[in-house]
Amino acid sequence: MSENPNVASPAPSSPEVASPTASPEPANNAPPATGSDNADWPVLEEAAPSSAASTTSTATAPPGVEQSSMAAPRGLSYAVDIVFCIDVTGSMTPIIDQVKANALRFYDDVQSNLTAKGKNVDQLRVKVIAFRDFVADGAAALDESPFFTLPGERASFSDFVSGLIAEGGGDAPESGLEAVALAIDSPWTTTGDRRRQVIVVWTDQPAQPLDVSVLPADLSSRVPADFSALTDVWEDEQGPMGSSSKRLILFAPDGPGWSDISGVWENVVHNPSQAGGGLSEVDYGTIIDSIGNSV
Amino acid sequence: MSETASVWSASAPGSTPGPTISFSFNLGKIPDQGEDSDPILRDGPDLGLVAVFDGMGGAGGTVYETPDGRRTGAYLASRVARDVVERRMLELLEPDWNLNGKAAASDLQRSVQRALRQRLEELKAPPSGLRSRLLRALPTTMALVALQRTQAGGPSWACHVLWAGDSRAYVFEPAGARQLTTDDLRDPGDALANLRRDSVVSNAMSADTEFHVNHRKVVLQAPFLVVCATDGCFGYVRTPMHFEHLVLSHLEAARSTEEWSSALQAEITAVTGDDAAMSVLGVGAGLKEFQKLFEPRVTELARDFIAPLDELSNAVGRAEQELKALQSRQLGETAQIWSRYKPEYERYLRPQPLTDDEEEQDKLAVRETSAQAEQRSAGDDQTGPVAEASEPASDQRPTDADEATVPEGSEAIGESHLQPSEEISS
Repeated sequence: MSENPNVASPAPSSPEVASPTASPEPANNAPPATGSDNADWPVLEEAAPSSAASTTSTATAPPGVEQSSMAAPRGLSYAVDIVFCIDVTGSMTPIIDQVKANALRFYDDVQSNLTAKGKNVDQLRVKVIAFRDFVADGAAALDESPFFTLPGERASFSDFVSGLIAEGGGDAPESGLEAVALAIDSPWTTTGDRRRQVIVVWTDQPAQPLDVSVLPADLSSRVPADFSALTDVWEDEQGPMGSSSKRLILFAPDGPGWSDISGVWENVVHNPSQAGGGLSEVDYGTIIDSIGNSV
Repeated sequence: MSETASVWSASAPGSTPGPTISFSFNLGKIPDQGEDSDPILRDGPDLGLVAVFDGMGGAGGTVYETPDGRRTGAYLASRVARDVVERRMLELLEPDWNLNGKAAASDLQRSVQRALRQRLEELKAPPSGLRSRLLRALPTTMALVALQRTQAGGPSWACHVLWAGDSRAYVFEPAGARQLTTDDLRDPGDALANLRRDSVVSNAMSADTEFHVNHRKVVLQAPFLVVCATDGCFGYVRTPMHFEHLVLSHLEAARSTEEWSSALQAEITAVTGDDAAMSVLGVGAGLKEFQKLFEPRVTELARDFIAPLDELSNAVGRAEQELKALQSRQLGETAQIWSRYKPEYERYLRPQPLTDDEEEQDKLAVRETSAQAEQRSAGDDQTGPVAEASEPASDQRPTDADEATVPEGSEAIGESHLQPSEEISS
């Protein structure tokens, strides 16, 4: 045989396609010898669907047939950690309550997204890093919670978020990259067959260049020296976060720090905005899907 | 799908049967929202076409308004790609012509890309404000096998494998299952590593990113089973060996192709956390012959691979249960033993009952205090310091003002040689 010349030419008009129900038995006629004249034959028939198709299947049904639901799986277990980095400088005052509400909602939405597909979320934890500006605020520039295991410690999580007050920070920019570095350095979960490790940043200002000299002594060892080193930590396959399980969601303006991240780092979704202001529901749903639907 | 004995019984004398048995299914986790498309499954005496498409929900979660309601990009993409690929392959795959696999891969790439871009334009979706290399417009995977008999009536088949993404094609031969596709992953590994790593897909069909369609050609000797599956079928079992066993063990027990399909669906439903689509085509033998051919392999799999792995897994499970039980027992018994030890340990931390002498002295002190108070109140201008009245009467009580900081319920002891602060901290 020689090769089919069709592949070298533009696609012709749609060929005759054998009806899915044309033959109850596939290829059930005597086959012509290869290369023989079979002009009267449907060369490829649609393999017939089972006459006893299970109710849990759309076995070879035409598109549009309703698909069935499946029971909760007994397969893999999932563990999800989320670290919220929240800018609590004075400029966030008009929107801090909305950001707090978004933080509380975010966890609910990720969990709903996972459970809607019957994924067993064995462990879901959240942690909060509230940040200001180490240059202007010194040690008061950081307020870091432990991981709260949800839903058991939901009240403690809510109390921590509710207690955040937007103040200080001096002029822009703020210490957002330090917050991201500390988030990366979190004690991430090692349980579960599959994991999602998510950092979510809300800020209305660009980020200060990293400068460990302005950090309190206990933090300087946890923060890389510059953006390049921070990038290495994020991209490191053997780093603190799993190479496949990590996600970074930025609700942050275009500008130094944040645009550098979304332009260079993998596994990042950036909503260029003032701390998520004006985010459409469609884009919000896309973000939640990028976390829950890919695991 | 059912067994079609007439196909191969009607073959030319001495010829090897062509496609004989087949089935496919598409299981959506959420009714009517499954992002896998219905598989492609077509056969002819000398040809076979099997394919699956997995709309990528993580990358294509964007929701579009369509005449059929709100649909995700993933849902739409898998269906668009399926229809285009089926149409093109029916055009390209003919018994009289050898399929040029590389050209077919390019053809499918162009055709699907054009169709996805056109569909995206039709959707007239407002531009997204999001920036990410994780997100794609109308993303879907594809795994496709095109079979062509190489000689009239012969057992040899050219198997063209075309794919993009992490959906897979396999051939199940009597000696074992072989993966025909290489997963397009950002962090590639072998099949076992990929099960655990859950890596991001590096190449998939989409409307807004460049992609390629991979091609591989192998020659297969009938009888064999060709299987195309989305990761909802193979991605939620413990090992690749378990997937082969899952498919073949249900073949052995089935009285019909329908039973085999149903049992597989039930098993996959029980373990998967994703939509799952599978398409299976058997070539060169009927169901009973396949059962006989694969029986030794199922036995070997169970004995040499599955049993040891499951035994180990069960042992780990038992050990974990035992560890949990031990930890619980440790907590309980520690609390119990502590409760026995604690009373003596905390003997001096609790208020001590007064001795008879102390009680008598306390009563005396109270009486004296009352008498003094009465004397003061009786005098016209004899008002003593208030602090005097509150001073402890007993000479065993500390008189230093700092002693007021001794916590309630605590008792200062050995005051003759310890400073008050030492007493508290001790």
